Amino acid sequence: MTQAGDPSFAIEIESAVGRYGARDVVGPVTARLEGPGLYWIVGPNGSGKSTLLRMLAGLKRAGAGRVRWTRGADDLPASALRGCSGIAAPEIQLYRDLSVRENLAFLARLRGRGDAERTLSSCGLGALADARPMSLSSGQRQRARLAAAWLGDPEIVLLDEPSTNLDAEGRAWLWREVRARAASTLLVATTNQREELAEGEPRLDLGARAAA
Amino acid sequence: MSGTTRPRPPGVLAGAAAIWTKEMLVEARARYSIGASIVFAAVTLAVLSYTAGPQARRPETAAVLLWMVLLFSATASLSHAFGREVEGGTWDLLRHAAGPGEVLLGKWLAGATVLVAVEALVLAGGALLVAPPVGDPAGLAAVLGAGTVTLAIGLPVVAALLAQARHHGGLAAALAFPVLVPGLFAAVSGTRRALEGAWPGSELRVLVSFAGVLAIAGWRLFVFLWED
Repeated sequence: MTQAGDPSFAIEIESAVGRYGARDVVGPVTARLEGPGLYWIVGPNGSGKSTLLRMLAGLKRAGAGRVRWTRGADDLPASALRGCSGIAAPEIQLYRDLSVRENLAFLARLRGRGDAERTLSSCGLGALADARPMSLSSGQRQRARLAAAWLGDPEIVLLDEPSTNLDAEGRAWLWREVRARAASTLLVATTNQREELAEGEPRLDLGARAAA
Repeated sequence: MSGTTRPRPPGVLAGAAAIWTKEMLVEARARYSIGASIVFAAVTLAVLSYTAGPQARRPETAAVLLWMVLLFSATASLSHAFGREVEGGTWDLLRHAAGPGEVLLGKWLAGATVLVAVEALVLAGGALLVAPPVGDPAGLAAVLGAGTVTLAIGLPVVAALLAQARHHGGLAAALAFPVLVPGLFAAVSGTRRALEGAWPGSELRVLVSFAGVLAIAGWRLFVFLWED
């Protein structure tokens, strides 16, 4: 979480193309996402939202162009993201043989930050802390993924389709959390549900790009 | 100026310790590695010692038998070290939270821990079923230690290649051979000499050098796979 007076984090996307083999699945995209704030990546299925988010997370290299992470005037290497960012995505799972608490404690140890108990409590998972992820409902598992992303209040949070599997109460909680955290965090979320966006929230529309 | 001190990720050793702890906790619960190893070790030890009969006590046969059982058992336990991460959907979780240094070191240490446990069982079984005379116990212990380190370094690197096999299938198979064979030649030869009562000095030098080269080459290869 960015403290008052801290230099802000930003992600510069410079003509970045997401590529699998010889096939371009997204881009070229050019944008500057500057924190704190909430940015949306919107587009229909197959428009490359998840691929672009993986590139923003440093999990996938741009096939052409580049993605840069900056803090104030300093460029950050992708390796520095592990200490200051979190990600939740449908294909990223927690360890099935560890409890939710153990998963979060392991991640906190690797990142050097985060309080598993506090995060579990704030995500409504306190009573399920000792459960294994596979024994949770799909909505509870999604909360556990979000808890892993928010663990340690990172400065950059990347959420791929965060409302997936959440019921109405869960979605209401999610959007409260997202908009509260966006006041102090660079938060990037993907969705294909345009009704999830609030008026005036900045967006990167991959559907419009694809159509163009 | 920063308002508060920003938390920093732990160093490579602390990260590797976290990964080793996680691996041991998962192993203690699921027994993915030990379970597969014990079955392979028991079956190959029983079949090979039965087939070889009294000849299994000869140093050259006992040395080959021992390292074949250890290789099969180690392969059964360590070859899925990264495949499980990819198949379980935790590979990106790990890549996002840790660096390649701590992950590879943590996996190496976890693999070595499992191998030591498997070796204890194999040696106990070998002593029971084959009982070869050991001329130089210290030499045998040294070769076992160096050979274990070589396997613990080499097999996770092969496992990382196999986990990425959808991109590098041919490369994985091609690299597995040079990763394993030279170390095994030296381990078998050193074990034979130790059983005969000679100090396996030259084989130990080869094993230690090979393990060092393997660690450096494996590290470079792993970083390439990590960033790919």
